[in-house]
Amino acid sequence: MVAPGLVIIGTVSVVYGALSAIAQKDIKRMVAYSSIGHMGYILVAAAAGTDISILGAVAQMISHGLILALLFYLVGIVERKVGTRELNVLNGLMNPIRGLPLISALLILGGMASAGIPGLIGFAAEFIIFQGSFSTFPIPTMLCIFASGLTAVYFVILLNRTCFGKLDNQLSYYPKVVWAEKIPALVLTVTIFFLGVQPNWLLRWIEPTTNFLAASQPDRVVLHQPSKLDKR
Amino acid sequence: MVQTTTQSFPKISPSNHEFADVIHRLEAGGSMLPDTPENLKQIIGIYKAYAVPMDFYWRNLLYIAERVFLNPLPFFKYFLPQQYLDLHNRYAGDDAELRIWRGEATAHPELLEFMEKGKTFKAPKLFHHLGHDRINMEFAEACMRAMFWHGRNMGLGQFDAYLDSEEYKANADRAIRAYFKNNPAMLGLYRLFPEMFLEQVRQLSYYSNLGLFWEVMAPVFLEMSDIYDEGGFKGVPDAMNFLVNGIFAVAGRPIYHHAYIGDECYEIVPKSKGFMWLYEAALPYVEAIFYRTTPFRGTKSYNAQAQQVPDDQKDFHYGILYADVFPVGTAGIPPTLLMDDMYHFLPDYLQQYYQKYCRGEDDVLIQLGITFQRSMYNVNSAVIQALREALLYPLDDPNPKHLMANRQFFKAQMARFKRPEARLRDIQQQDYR
Repeated sequence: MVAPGLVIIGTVSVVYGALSAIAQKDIKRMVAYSSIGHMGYILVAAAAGTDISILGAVAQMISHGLILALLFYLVGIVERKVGTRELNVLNGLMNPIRGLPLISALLILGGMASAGIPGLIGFAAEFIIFQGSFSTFPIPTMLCIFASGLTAVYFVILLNRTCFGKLDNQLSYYPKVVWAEKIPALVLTVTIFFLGVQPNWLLRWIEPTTNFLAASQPDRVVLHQPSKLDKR
Repeated sequence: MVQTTTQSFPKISPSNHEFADVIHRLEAGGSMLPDTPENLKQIIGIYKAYAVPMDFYWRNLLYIAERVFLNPLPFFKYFLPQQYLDLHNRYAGDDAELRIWRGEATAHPELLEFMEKGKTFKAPKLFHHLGHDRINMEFAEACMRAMFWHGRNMGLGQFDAYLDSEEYKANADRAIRAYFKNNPAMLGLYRLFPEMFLEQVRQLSYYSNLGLFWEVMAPVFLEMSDIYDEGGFKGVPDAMNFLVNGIFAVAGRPIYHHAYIGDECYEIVPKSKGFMWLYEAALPYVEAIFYRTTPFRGTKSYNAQAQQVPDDQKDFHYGILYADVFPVGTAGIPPTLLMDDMYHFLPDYLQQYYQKYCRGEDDVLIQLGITFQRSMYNVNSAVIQALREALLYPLDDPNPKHLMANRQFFKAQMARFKRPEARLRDIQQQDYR
């Protein structure tokens, strides 16, 4: 009774978050609704209760924490330098001379990570969630996969409006982004990229715990082969 | 000596034109550019930074027009020979026919230093050339091509019409045959496609036209820089008046095209035709480069069906007076080539000035590009005042009808800046950088 209810709430979160994000004109609110949507994946995975889905839920917690930290940080930098968060006003920040080229590039990377592009940690976490949840709740999982595609929609809107296009010289007297402001974003980006290329370096730490959690549930569904770690 | 007065003689009521402030300033003998010490510093500094590469441009343009001529494989046309570096500018040096600049008549020392070392280190010329560590002569050729393309459509002078005359064709034919005297293949090609060769010669005549124009402007700008360093300019109107006087002093300078083939000189456009610097070079240059030019590839997306590019060449508005100096792309289009050239010769006071604003060193090219735009508005003001002086009435004329005629003239000039792309509004603000 509880699990199906949770999965419905989770799925609604995912879809509602994605659709709301598409409608936003404020980039911070857009990222906030994105965050709501991504938390829904965690709920769906936890409700599914399989070894893999619980592993995916914890991985998504970490992945979401890293990606959204990066996105909120970058949005904050944009607001501080440009003075606005309005999508209708922001334009051409990728300009290498008077824009915010590094911040824009990292924003693109953050958007890709959030959308689940392979090679970044977001893909690993979401893929594990979908694989683990499908057998238990196929339709909600399919809806989550669909909403994952919608992530790309609103991030393309955000990136297209803020990063690309022509920077208006009459508005573009922005202060420079100093190294003290760049370093936290770079650290987060490197971590996202590194764990995306080698997700096992994250998963091996959480797998024993998630296996235990899954095993302690009644009527659990085993979906994976015992790993070398289990033999320790 | 023409001195446009800087006092106001209110014999007619104030204008209510959109650019009333600018019109009143022009009527008082001023410039379209506001008279502030900052503006004066910027424009004089950029005139100097422009004059040094211009010294290369005019020499190379004449070299190509006179010596390279119809070389089918002109790989080394930008490799200016010593003969042309030593060529005396007729408006500088001790033997000048009219000495405008107090300096030497041969190539500017800063130019020679840059040609030797570039911005890196001393290396064979070919390395500097291939690495674009050189004067960007492509900018000069782009200016020439704009003048050539707009040509007769500008309705100025007789030079362009002469290029279609039988006399010109005969002169060009003689030169072409002499140039390819020992080359039966090229002579055969000329027999098959005579118009192609003639068109190349017409283009070379424009090379000569622009070279002779800039031969005058380079010493003018260098002298302005020297006068400013001595504290000789009290404000922007003083600088503008120097240009006005220079225009009148050199207005009658002949424009011609001579080609040196073997030991002979072929007068393709003879001096005896009487083409004058002001009407055949200066005014067409201002119209073609300051106002019209052509849209630069990569800076705009053109939809022919939506008619984003005007059908009528007269409506072209891509010149420096309308340019968005801050393009989406960066290197490669002619304005950015000039910005790169000017960057190498900025005076110290201007370099220090740019460090204080915007992104400092990071966007200095944009800052100096906008300064250049301001300076060309000042040059354009000088042309407008010179035309007013030549065709209409003095600014201190006691007759109000004459003053009104002057005002109508200024209003007609301002009409071209009403369109939103014009930067006349922007240059009125000091924080437009």
